[in-house]
Amino acid sequence: MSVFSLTTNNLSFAYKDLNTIDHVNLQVKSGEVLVILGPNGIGKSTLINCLSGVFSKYQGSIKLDNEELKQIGSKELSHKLALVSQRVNINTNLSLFDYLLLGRSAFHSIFSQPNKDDEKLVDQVISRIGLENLKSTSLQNMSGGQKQLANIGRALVQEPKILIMDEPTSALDYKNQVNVLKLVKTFSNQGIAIVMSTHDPNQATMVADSVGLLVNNKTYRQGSTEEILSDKSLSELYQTPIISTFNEDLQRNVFGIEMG
Amino acid sequence: MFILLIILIFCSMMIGRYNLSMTEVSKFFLGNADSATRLILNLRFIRIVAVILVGAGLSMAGATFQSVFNNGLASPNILGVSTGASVGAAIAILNNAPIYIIELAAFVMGVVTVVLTLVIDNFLHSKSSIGLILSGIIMSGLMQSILGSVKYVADPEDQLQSIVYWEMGSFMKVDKQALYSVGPVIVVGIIFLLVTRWRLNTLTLDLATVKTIGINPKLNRNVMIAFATLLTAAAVCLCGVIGWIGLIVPHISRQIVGDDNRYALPMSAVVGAALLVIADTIARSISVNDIPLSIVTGFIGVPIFIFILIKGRNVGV
Repeated sequence: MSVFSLTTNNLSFAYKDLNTIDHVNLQVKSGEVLVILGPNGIGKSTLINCLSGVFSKYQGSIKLDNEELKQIGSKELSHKLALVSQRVNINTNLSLFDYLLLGRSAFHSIFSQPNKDDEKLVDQVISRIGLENLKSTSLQNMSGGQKQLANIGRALVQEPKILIMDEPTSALDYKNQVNVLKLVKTFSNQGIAIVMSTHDPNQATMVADSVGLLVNNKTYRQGSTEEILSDKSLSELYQTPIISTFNEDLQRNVFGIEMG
Repeated sequence: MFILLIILIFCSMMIGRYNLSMTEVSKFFLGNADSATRLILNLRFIRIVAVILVGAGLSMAGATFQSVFNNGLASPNILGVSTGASVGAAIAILNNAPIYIIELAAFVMGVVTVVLTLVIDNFLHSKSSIGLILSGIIMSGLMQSILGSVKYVADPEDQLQSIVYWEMGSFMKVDKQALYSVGPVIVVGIIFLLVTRWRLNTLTLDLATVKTIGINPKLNRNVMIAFATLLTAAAVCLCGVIGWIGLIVPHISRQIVGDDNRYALPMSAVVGAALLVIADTIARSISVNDIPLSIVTGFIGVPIFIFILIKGRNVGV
């Protein structure tokens, strides 16, 4: 797979009551996981929506390889980039299989139907996300964790080069968080570029190749996990004391909050 | 289900003010019935074709509205399309317009009503689909008032009767000419929704997701709404407002084949046609005069809808 990159240059966005972002310069390329950390209401979702083409009235530039995101048609964009939104309350009675099949919509005209190859791909993705036994189950009858996996599956069916995930673990228990993070790692090993937002710095230490901090004064800093994640930077970021300890068993830093 | 529909059509051909035997109906289809029988069955056949088209069309329009708005209560009637279309038809009748102008006026007013319903919903900033239902009720209320005003000024000898006939729905006045002028519109609407039915599945998702899947949400949604409105308005032109079919048939169909519109939409067409053939056969044979169809569909629709709700089907509210 050729190297593919997503880069922003002075990306800013301000609109009505949405959280603003200011001069964000981020980079991610094939096989990398970029984790974006920031407190509630700082604009993580705004950034994600800009990067995935949902919000198009941004200033600055977002480049997929050398092409400006705004200039790429939505159909073509969907073949390169897929979004896993924060919503796990998908209000559909469709079965898991039919839901995932929707990821192939842009590969067909309005007058055509999915073909055997699409169905084969969906079957493969369902086994990758480990939900084979729920193939015919309606999404309404699934747990939050399963719905989130279904969302990820639907994005994968688009066969994207870059996967953008808005707090994919926020509604999930520990087991499901681990499932999602393992998938994130697998996808990056397969050459997909991943941008993922979260509140939890521990997730960054588990999967990230680089970390971006959206700080209160609207500045964005990006660097390697070691460079960026420190007690000081995180305490400043979340405006509360955060302490890290090295865990021998996990072989990594673990961040905890202090009650004060 | 399709075979059941064929049997129903056959039975419906036999039943009426003059009941006919199976042999006579068979002879008609084979082209060697005697002239009196042929005359009756010709009329009956035209009427049944119209019933099938309207039943299928209204049900598919309902299924489309329910998918596009991701709301099981969305139906041509609840969104105000039917009332809007009958206002259009009523105004045209008031001006003694020919059938194609009545058709056009019904369509235009149907579209205007849907657009206004969507505009009001937009102003309500409601996160749930209840906003849409409220907007539909508001627009239906307004259209009812306009319809009331039109009725008030209509000539009671002639026009008022026609308008009331539109309001309650009946196939009594459907003749060859009406079927030939409106039928093709319904056929076009049905074919369009049938070939685009997979796209309806995509449109049940939230707009941001639809966009990142690579589909233009607004354009696709509006095209679907336009065709569903076209079907509804055309149906109203042919036989007036018929309640319940567009609301309950999609639910019945989804109980049978699941929520995938690739199967639910064709099933809605067949079930809708079958149910309306039954309703119309009752309407034209239960008493000496034709009774308005909405009365029959109401008596059939209400218990079915209650049953669907009791069974705990998620209608999206």
